[in-house]
Amino acid sequence: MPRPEPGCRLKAARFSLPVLHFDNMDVAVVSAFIREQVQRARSLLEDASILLAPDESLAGAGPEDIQALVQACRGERLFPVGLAQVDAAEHWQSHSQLRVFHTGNTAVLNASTAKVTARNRFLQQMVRSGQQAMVAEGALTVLANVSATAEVLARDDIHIYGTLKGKALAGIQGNADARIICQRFEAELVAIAGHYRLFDEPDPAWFGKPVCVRLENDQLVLQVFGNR
Amino acid sequence: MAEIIVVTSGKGGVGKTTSSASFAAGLAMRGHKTAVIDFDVGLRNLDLVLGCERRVVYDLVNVIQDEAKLHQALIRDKRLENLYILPASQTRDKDALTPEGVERVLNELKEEFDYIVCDSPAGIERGAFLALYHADQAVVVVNPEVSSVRDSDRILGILASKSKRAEENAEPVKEHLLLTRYCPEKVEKGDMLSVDDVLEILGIPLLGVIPESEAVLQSSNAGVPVILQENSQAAEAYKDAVARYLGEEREMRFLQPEKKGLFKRLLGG
Repeated sequence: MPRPEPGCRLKAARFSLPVLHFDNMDVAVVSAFIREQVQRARSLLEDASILLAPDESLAGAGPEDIQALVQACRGERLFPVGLAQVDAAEHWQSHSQLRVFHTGNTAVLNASTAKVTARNRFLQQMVRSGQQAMVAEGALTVLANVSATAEVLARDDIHIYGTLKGKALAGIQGNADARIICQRFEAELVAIAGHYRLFDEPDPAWFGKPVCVRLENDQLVLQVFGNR
Repeated sequence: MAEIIVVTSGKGGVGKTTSSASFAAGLAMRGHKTAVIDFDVGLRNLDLVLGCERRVVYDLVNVIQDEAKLHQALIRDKRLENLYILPASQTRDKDALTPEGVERVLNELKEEFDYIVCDSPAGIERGAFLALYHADQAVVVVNPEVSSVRDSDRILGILASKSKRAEENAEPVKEHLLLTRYCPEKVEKGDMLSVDDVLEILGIPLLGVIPESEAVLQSSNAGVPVILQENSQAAEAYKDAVARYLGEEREMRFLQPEKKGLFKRLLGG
């Protein structure tokens, strides 16, 4: 007999939260900073949940000051839900109602390296001249050709199961481990993590062959693969 | 249900208007009531190619701006009873076309016609965009040379992303390749892209190959659609293309260089 549904479920989920780094306990200074940031990116930050990351110099801050600062954040419509795993976190945890978020080995959090869930994209149709396909948060797979002057960009790897005639830029946010793999290489340009190479003349070493491009010691390495 | 066909290319001078005229005439010859619209507002040509330039009173822009009724602007072809032409304006520019106006005209035409052929202007600006926006099918006219192929690739990208069908996530616009001004002798010498080269780059089904021919220029100047010419390879090739469009199987012709007989060689022909 099937068990009755309990109506509750436990599911894993990942979120990215902005982290507020600060080394100043002056409520006015912090408030002004937040106000400016929220105004700049209202849709992103207004009423957002954040983590606090007090500098280690603030490890001995007084309980009233800590509470005043948390209150100041809320006053500017940013809602601290916890503390980032920094040196001062233990002390702050005992004087605020916030708990430390354990985030593995990444002791120092920085908003720009906050891990985003990969969102890979898959394209069935050709990327034609003048078109651009960009995947800001993952890898890109194209099942057809990438035409001359077309551009494909991805945060991670780019796989092309057709001919790459245009430009392919992988690791556009600095991922040096990203690769570009294509079934037939006729590219105008390839780039990984900002290191690029232009192919103004078809190089017989790669042209028309299955090629994998990777970055090794800041140098682009092209490798013909398969048994053709 | 009427079908809207856009004849487009991106690049100019590849034979869009010639092909629109012949394609529309071909559909009409097969008994389908067909309207062909010149979207090249400001540079009207289709009326010349179809030989009705002296019968233009009202045009597309007049209809869009409610200065004339659709029936006043439609010109019935003198040779083919099923063929009607909606000419472009010569005195206005493409800004006179509005998306709502174009949609209204097309909806009105749909009630009466089987096929509506839209002759797109060159480029990727407003006129070209409005011509392709409502298309159900697209005939992409390409010359066997790299710049034409590149521009057509661009247009195919726009069809796949900016057409009404793309915006509404409906079934994509059906694409057909019409290769014009094909010269098998030059292909053999390696001076011209071959059919296979073009197909490899564009990756869409081939509707027809129209051989380069003096007859095309002559008939355009005479105001007769090429397809109506007798004993012309280009006319035959257009008829094949229309037949394939209507679902018939026809072998591709005129892809090999003509073998010249002794007589022709002696005459230097």
